[in-house]
Amino acid sequence: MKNTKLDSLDKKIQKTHSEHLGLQIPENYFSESKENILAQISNKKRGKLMPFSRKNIIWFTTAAAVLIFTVMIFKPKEFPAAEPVITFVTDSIDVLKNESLANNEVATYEEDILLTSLFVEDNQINKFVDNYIIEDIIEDIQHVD
Amino acid sequence: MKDEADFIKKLTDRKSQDEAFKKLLDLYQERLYWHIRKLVITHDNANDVLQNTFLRIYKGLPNFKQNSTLHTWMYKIAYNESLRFLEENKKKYTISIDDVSEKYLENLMEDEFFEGTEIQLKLQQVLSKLPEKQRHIFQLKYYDDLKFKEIEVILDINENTLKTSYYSTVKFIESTILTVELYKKDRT
Repeated sequence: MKNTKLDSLDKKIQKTHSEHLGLQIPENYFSESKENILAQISNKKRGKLMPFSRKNIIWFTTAAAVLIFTVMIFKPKEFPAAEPVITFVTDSIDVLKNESLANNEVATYEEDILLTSLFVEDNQINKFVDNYIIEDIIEDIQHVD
Repeated sequence: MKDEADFIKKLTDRKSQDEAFKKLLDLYQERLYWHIRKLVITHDNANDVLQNTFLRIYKGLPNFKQNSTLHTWMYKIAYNESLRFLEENKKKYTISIDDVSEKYLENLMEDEFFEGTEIQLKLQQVLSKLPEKQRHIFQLKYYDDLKFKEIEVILDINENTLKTSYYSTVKFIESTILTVELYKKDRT
């Protein structure tokens, strides 16, 4: 519930926008909008609204694999064994899934990944994705469902 | 400040989060809507951006560092979401800089929730001619009633620059509208 002061401020703002700028809104818009927003948040919490469509999953896993291969090729000593690689990939996917998007973190991360993807062969990506990534992701989807 | 700190605590505590977020919506939904609406023009666009804004706010709350007030932080998110929306639309329609003003007015006229009296349309035309940033500064100050210190955080523009821009815009709008009114008076 709004307090009286803020309620009158909102009414003043609406009046200004309506009278000066001619901007109108549908009746009951704000109460419906509030319900929609709360419903979306509730769905996200239950995991029904998948932030990762199948297309995004394949994109992110490919990008993560590319990043790993690039580091392996240019800095082989950093990742000598397979297990740390898988952990790194899993961690990378978790970072990408992290929904702290207030500061455009994901956009910057995507740009970095796309740049590194220029240095890795397609068949290397395919092999890595087939062997390690898809199984984990499918397992995740099944677990959520 | 203590009240705000307590409120933020409730917003990030799982037990009180849902109720606190409903209160946040009650407090800020309308103001953020009007802020967004002026930027993206039509009601449908504003509705989409508003939804995305509150989803981002919800997701970002655990990481809110309190470098600014909650109020300013949310306006900044709304502003960035609106710009992101506008950028995506520019790419879709490949609008040239010269066409931006026309597109602004075109979108406005097509919006079923634009009333469009003569003076309202005139004011919108004047606003559409302003450079984008200058228009945003004016809208944030005059229509959203924000302080210059808050606008400085939202737009990342120095306060003195904001003041200069705002006052020159006010003069420009006054003289333009006044010219129109005088012209109409002369003709009657």
